[in-house]
Amino acid sequence: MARALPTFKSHAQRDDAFLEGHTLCPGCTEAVAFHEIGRATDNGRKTLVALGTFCGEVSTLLYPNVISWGRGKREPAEVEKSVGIIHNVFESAPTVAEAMSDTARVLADVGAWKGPQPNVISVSGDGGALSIGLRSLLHSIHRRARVTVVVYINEVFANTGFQYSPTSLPFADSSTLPHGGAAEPIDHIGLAIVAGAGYVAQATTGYAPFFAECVEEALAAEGTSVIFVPAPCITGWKFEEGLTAELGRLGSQTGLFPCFRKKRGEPGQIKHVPEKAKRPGVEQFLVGQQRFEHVVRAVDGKPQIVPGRESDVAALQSYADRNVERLEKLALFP
Amino acid sequence: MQIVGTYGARYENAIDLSALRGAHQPQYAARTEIAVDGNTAAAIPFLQWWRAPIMAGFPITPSTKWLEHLAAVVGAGKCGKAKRVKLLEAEHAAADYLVGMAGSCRELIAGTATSSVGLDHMTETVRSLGASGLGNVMIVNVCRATANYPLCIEGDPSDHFAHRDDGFIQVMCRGKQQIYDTILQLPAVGMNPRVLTPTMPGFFGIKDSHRSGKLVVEPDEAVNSFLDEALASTEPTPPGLLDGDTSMGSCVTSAYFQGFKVGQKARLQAALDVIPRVAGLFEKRFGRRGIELFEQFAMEDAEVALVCLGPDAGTAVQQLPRMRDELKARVGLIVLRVLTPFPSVALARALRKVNAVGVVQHAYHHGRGHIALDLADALAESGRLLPTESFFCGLGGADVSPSTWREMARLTVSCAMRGKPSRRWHLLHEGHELSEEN
Repeated sequence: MARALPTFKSHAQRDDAFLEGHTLCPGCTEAVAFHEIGRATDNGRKTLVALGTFCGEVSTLLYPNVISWGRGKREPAEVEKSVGIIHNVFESAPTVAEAMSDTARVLADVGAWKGPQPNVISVSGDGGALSIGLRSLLHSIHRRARVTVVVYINEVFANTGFQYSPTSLPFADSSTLPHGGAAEPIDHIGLAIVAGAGYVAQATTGYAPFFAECVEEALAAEGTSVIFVPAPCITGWKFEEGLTAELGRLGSQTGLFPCFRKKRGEPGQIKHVPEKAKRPGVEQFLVGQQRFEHVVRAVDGKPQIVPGRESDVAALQSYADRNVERLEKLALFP
Repeated sequence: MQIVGTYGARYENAIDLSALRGAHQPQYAARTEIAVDGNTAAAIPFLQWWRAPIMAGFPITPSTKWLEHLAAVVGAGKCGKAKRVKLLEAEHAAADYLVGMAGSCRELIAGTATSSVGLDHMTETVRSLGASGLGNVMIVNVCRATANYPLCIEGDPSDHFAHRDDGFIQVMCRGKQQIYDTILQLPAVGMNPRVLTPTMPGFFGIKDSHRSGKLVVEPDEAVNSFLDEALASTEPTPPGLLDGDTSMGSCVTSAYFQGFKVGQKARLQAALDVIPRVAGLFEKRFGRRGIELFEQFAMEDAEVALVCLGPDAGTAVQQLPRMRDELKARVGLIVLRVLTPFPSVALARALRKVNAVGVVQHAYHHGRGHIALDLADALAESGRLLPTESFFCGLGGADVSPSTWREMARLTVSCAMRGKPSRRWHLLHEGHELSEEN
């Protein structure tokens, strides 16, 4: 029977499993999302987390700093409140999580684990999940592993210094592809759905209640849940601090990173994307990010296309429009 | 809830291991003699251990039969709900899976088998595992030449040697009984609280993996109670991810990295102390020799010695009387078992009375050979400079004929008389040199 999901208010009042001590950039999307995940997992179930190698790992499990993961100031008295967290290698967090889930399940099947099935979460960057780790991600989904896979998409290999990634938007400047290329990003949502995920969402922390709902739904879903989290990166994209939530919202509104959720076998839902005529143009998203400064700049506070770059912006707009259309079709995937 | 050192909290009753033990369906109720190949001999312990509820794998020649045997037995419903076979999409994934399983509960045994480029494909995770403290991980390596230019599916331990610095306890086996017995003992070594280091038993592909022989299988009850007895410790087990509030796999700066490595090295070296104790318990319970650091044949009065490993040692043992007779020299033989940590002190002591040594190696090396280097280091540490002939033979699983063994003995005796080796290294087949002068 489906689990009743908490309201956003009750979600927000739970004990967080992500605490102070991390060294993520101030205002980083990842930290905001970690807090939401930390609260969602305070649900009477043991929490197990597998991290790939990415900013969220090196900034939260750095010895001898305080480990940022755990519920409360001391080890909790009840195992259901406790957190077991492991980092293995760059690309295999879904497989490690799958093993943790299977172990708990086989122990439960013989009566050796008497609690409810734990929350099992893998967290990776887009490099770890969609580039070097695509094998691990797709095969865990294909095996219907009972895990929730969280993938932060900041469109670069941020941990190594903001190199091009297969999720990079066209013409985005990166340290290995100056001024970017014309290639469109890998279809991560399509891959996850077609591979057989039980639940797929793309959710920005800019829409906090929607994000929290998606995490709750993912934890409650059957099979493999995958949440892609567009993650505006202050240092990599080079924008003013304090704009991560707004850029997350603009990413959805423009159609570049639409909020989306779909349960396997049910129609999906696109959220926070206005009708085409009312959508902000992609230049609204691009302006203010130094990685796109060669394409769009602010003039008198308004975005202005750099002369000669009109076709690039048109290509990005075309991609955003087709992205929404593609998701509309994926929403109907059986 | 108990705080265990710096590991964090452990929730003592969160996992009821007695329930897992109770769900185990024994495969053998009494000591039984069977005829099996080496891969099956290596698989049977995983069916007998109640501590091994999931076996992970991905097929690669010549280790595939290990996985197929487990899948057949589990698939036939002979293990009930207490065992699963997990089929992964690649060897790297199999190694990753072991991390998650072993990390979840440190009392379980997480194992797989692989070979050659399969082990190479695991490298990233295997090297992490070697430092992880997860001594409940076992990777059975069915030795096969690596890598693929040219591809060769027969047994040579170049894969094993390529991974000797990964941090695993590596023990080489020859013959079905030694494979089975070694695997029965190794978790008691790796999971010892002083050791906490994963293990890698190895045996030669084809020569041992695919040829059948006699195997005495012990009853499950004895197999499990031996392991329980060997693991009994007053030191608390560190928490696992499932039964603990803990973290694994931190990232560090150089200011702390070396401290972690000091700990890793100390744990690995402690295996040399723990192995004899475990072997003693094994011999007492089952009446067969436990894991030896190395085997010795005719070493009591030896004036020269051959040092080797693997299944071809059987030919050498059989040839020893003829070598002694024809060469009019007291030739002895040492067959290595524990490769990592290398038993330097014990080996130097065993060779203290010989005048020359011939090192027999079956894996490609750019110089005089992996074992030749380790042995030279062991002898140097003991203050000796012993003339050493370096031999390569049986590469890619080629036969090592009696004539090759006798030629290696002859060259080693000459080396003793000359006081130095005749060549930098030899590559022999059917008693003849295959290489140009070097």
